[in-house]
Amino acid sequence: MKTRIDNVNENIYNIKTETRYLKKGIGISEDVVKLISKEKEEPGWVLDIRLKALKLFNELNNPDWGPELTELDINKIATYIKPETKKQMSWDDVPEDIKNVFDKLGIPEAEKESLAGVGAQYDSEAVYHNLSEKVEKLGVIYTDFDTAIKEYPELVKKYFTKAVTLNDHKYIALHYALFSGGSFIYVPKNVKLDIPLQSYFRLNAPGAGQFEHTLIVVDEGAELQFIEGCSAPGYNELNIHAGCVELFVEENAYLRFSTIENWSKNMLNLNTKKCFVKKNGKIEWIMGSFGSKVSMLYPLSVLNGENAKCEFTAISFAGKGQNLDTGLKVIHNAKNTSTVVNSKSISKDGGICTFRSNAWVKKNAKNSKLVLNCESLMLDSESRSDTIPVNRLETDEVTFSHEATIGKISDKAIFYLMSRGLSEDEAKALIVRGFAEPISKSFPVEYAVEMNRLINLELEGTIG
Amino acid sequence: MKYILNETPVKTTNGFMINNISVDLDIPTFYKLNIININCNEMDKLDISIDKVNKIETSRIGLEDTLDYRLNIKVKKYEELNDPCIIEYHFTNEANKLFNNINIVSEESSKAKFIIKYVSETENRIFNYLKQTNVVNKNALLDISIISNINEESDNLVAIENIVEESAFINHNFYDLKGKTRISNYYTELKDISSENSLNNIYIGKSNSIIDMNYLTNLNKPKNTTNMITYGILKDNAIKNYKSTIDFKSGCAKSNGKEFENVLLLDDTVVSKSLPMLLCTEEDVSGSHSVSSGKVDNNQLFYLMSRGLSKKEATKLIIFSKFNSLLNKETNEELRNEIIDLIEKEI
Repeated sequence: MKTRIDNVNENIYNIKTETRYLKKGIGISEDVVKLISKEKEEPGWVLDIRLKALKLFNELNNPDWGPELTELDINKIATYIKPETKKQMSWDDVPEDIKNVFDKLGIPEAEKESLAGVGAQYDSEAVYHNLSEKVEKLGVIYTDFDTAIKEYPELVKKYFTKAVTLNDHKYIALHYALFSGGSFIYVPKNVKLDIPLQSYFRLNAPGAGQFEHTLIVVDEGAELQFIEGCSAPGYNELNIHAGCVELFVEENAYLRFSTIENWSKNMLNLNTKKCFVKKNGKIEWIMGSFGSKVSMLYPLSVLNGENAKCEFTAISFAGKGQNLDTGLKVIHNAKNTSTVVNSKSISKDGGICTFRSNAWVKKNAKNSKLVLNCESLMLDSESRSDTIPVNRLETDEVTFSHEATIGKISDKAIFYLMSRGLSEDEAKALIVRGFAEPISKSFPVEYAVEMNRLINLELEGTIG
Repeated sequence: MKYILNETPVKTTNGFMINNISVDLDIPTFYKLNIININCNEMDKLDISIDKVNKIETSRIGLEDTLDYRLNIKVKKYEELNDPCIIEYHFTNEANKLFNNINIVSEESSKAKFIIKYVSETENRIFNYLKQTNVVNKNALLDISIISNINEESDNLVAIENIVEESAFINHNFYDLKGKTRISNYYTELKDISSENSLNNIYIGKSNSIIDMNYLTNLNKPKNTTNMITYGILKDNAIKNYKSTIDFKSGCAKSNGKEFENVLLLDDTVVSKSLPMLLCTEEDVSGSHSVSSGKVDNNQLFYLMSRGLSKKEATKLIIFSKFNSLLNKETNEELRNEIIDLIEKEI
């Protein structure tokens, strides 16, 4: 028997709890910005950044390309919600209702089994942050961003706003004016963490915004795997997520940044991510985009050092009412740099998937190599799938190739599977899972399971 | 005067400055129809007329027509031209500005080839603006080759618009070999079942030339097919924008579309930008695009030089190995040889 698509709303990501808070800010104004800064007892230089960003937000226009964003009225959004709890280092101290949410999402369980540290944010503030003793002894810093500003001001000042600048676009200005929560990670020289750290961002309140800032520095010769998870229960009111991720991969360092995004389908996800990679460094982006009403997300890698590398592996799944405009940007700014992109998208029930890639090879990036692949699968003719790649090459010493294909599920493959006893729906579902498999294999095993669960949820009621 | 031309059908991020092109152009005003030579052995199979267009239109390139005359050529129903019809213009010191609006209608089940050729016999700066509209009726076949061989100082604008009806086919071979500012816009509407188009494009960019290509095919009905293939080389501070879009509209089930660009970068003074777009609102289609760029393969060079060829000869051979797949699609042998000679001179 088929499961109805409405059942997705009953899944674990849709747990709703009553919103209890200590402080709340509505919209964006100097008063709200100052309220946030005061609540966090921030130093003056941080408030200066916020106020400068506020001015920029008011000056900058919405992008004149991509999905329509005019329905957002930021003055109706609860832009700051401070929950009724402080950051805890033990799950036992987290209020029962909040702990329950994270329990159902499987975060404490994952921490016990396969993570070196976990950060959990609920609405605007971190409610839990912990790092295993063993990893802490190696000198690794993993804390929420507010704590980092207070306890590691020099490190934060050195890197904060240096990758993603305030004037990149309107919604990054919004972010810097209102940022709250997020994670700060510093991995010292030559420390190699083989167990991942994970931050989970949960937006619980309806009609609210989340603006967390994540800053990660992987110092020379160090290695880190980081997992970012995000979700929210569904409401009728519009929510906004305008987070920011700044990553610094120093010489000979390695960072794998994985994201499984499953925001509710009333969310505008306008996230900005940027990574600077130095000599012999490597950034790996692994991204699964399943949720949100509208997403605009294009992580940028700037390969500044010789032999720096970028690998980008992503999957998007857009269903009814969703417009997922995602992709990547890369700048090759040194010799022997390389980029490999493997992106897949699935559209169904009127969902829109757009893949954008922007690749820029600068004059000094001699002997660079870029291989970009994009595959799109359409499950019906109500949906839409667009591929919009832009490339700019300024040197002849480059090997560049971009390939994209678009198509439907092969009739021959369905026929073959049906001849082996599967129903047509089962055959289609199997093929979709097979299409996504190369990407899900890139995730750590627990998260590959989560990704497959999300794909299954998306397929339910249609072809599952 | 500055003009913003060649807008892409869908806008993307502005940082790459590829959504349109901003160029300085000195566009002359035309008061009379320029005289173009038409050589055709089978005039009885054609209807040729010149008419005055009442409404001044803007072509998809973004320029308003500066002359309201149009050359109309009709290929009569069921007629087949055995030899190509050649439309030729020689630019001279005196006649160095041309606006030409050529409209070809291929009536049902007709078959014809046209060669539109621009030759420069002057070193003076040339301005050429070709507006070319074509309607290909049911089961007709229309093949058009356009050769732009004007001097290095020239501005050359080409705007092509095609409407292709049921089971009809239009092919354009476009050889864009010379010129300073070269802006081309190619637009095809495949409007009935089994209509098909192809574009085979070769460009050579050198000597500070700016090349901006903007190609779009809309597939509207079942079993439409499009192929837009481009090969090019760039050197000596040339700047190139390649923008190509295949738009699978709802209702074009079982259609196929392919767009491809390969560019050889011959030195590091060039800037090569590309934006190959696939837009799709139909499930049952097959679409692909690919763009590849790079310099001449050192291994291939080494091999050919070890066989006694100079570096220049070896490079030329490698370039032709790329171009040949398109040159072989040129059905007129005489023209093909002429193009090969012209390309050899340029590289």
